[in-house]
Amino acid sequence: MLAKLLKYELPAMGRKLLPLYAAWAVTAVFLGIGTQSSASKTDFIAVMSILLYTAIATAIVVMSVIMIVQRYSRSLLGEEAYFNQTLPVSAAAHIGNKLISATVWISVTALVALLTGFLILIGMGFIVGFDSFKAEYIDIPKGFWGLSFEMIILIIASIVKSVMQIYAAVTIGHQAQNHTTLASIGAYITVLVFEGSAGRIVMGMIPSMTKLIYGAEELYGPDGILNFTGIFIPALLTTAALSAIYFFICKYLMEKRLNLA
Amino acid sequence: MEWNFKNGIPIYTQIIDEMTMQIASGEYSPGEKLSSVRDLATDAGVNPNTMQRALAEMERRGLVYSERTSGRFVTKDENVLAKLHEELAKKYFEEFNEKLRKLGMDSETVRSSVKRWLDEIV
Amino acid sequence: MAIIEISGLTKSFGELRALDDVSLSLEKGQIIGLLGPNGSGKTTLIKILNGLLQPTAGSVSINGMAPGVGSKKIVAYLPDRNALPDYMDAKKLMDMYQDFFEDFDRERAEAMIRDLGIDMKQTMKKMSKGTKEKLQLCLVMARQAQVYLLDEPIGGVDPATRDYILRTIISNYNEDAVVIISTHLISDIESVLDDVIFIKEGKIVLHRAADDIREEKGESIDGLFREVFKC
Repeated sequence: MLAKLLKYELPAMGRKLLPLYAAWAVTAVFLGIGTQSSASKTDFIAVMSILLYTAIATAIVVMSVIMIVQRYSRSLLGEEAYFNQTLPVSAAAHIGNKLISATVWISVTALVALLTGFLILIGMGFIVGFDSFKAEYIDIPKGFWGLSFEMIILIIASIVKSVMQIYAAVTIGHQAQNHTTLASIGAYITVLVFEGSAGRIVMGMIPSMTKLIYGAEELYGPDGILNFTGIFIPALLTTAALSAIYFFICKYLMEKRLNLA
Repeated sequence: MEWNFKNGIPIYTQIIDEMTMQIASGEYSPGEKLSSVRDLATDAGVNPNTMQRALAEMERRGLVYSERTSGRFVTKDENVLAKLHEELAKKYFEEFNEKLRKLGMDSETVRSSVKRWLDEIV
Repeated sequence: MAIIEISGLTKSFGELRALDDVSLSLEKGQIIGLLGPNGSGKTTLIKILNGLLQPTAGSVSINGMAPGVGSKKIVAYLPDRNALPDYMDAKKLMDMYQDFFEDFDRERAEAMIRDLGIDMKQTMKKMSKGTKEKLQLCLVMARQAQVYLLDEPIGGVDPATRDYILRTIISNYNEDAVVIISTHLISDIESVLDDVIFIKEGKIVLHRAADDIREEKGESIDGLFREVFKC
């Protein structure tokens, strides 16, 4: 059933984002061209495209946040819940569906952002192959790819956690019979405070966890650079644990305490 | 078309009356197959259980009969039909008579008037 | 065997008791009218049967199951509002019903949508309120469910559509299913009902066969309703 839910949810979110992505990419190219030379006739285009580029970026971020909240609250706790919550689908599948869709679209947005960066470069005339680019500008340090992989995993994990945090707050907020929006915001702040204190405790434990897992003595290498690999596993575990806590809060409330207005 | 039902009378008895009338008047011919309960119910705009109940009662009265495999039919029994006609005619006459009595006619006046009217009309 | 069992069901919203110790046992093969004025608890009861509200006390069971994934497979629900995604058209909605409900009969749905003259390619957003209601009802009635919970199915539609809907309910009737119709427009539907339930201020005040009421009281269900709920 999760797959069937995703079949409708992913396009539903994409429907709104795809046109913005397209506009964003086009603006990026103009931005690149506009800043290519200092010739005065391109100044106007440059300024306009910078403004437009930033505006679209902001719009995408704002819309994504609103959409993540709305696609969850409206379809599982609001008007559309009168249909969705009567589908023969478990609460876990419903929450998982929203979470996966949100994570996918946030990740796609990040990739598109990266792409617009390249488009700006291309627009500016850096139409070069990645290999020559790499050879010319970057001396890839040892362990770069491993570190990148760990970073990406951790970023995705924290996206998941942040989304679940919102869902948990919204679900808790809907337990109030009135003023659910206000209650959701209150719940969100509470969750942040909870996570802050939980985070401090966990952070305090990280050096000893690192020691336990890797046998490493210090978080920082002799060159003073953070030993990122050392904190990867503990950080990932912490993020996963928090996500799981939020997930079960949502699942419990949806299964046992659902009361649609 | 949907039938009109009167208030305060069980719908199944109204169905019986209506269908009995249709049989007596030949709208349903003897031996004719009836539609399925569901179709009859849909036509009349009533609950299928109610239609079923009405048909069961008509079956008990011998107005319709069912064959296990092929469905329900209007009776071919001429005695039953003759009796039905007699009963309905009598019922109408009773109503008619009652109305005339309400007008203050006594049975003698009714008798003579009916005779006169018959000659005039027929 | 009863397909819906409700026992000691109470639902409070703060001070208000929307349902007060309701017990009902409803059999298969019946079309049942859940009748009461606005705010009497009809919608609350139907929402609890769908798992959209949780009881304060008491319990409900559908075919032996508490409301949940299992019961939702066999319950076809028409809510008292439009709950379908408004950017979808009839075709897309049928796809969705087909995906999620094994008992959805697509041909039947298409026939009904055609009969009612609904444009297959118009999105919900562009439909009139009445058309939305009709479409939603088509989708619900095209399921071969065991329980139909119809909350005010004839509230906002024209008389011709109302007749079509009632005909659909009758012709869709099967002896393994129970149909519960909640409404306050009694005269429109009383000829299709087996049983009637009167609900008043969260309490069941009457649960009887419709024809028994007509026979005994010598008046229509509508007439009796007006008497019981007279202001």
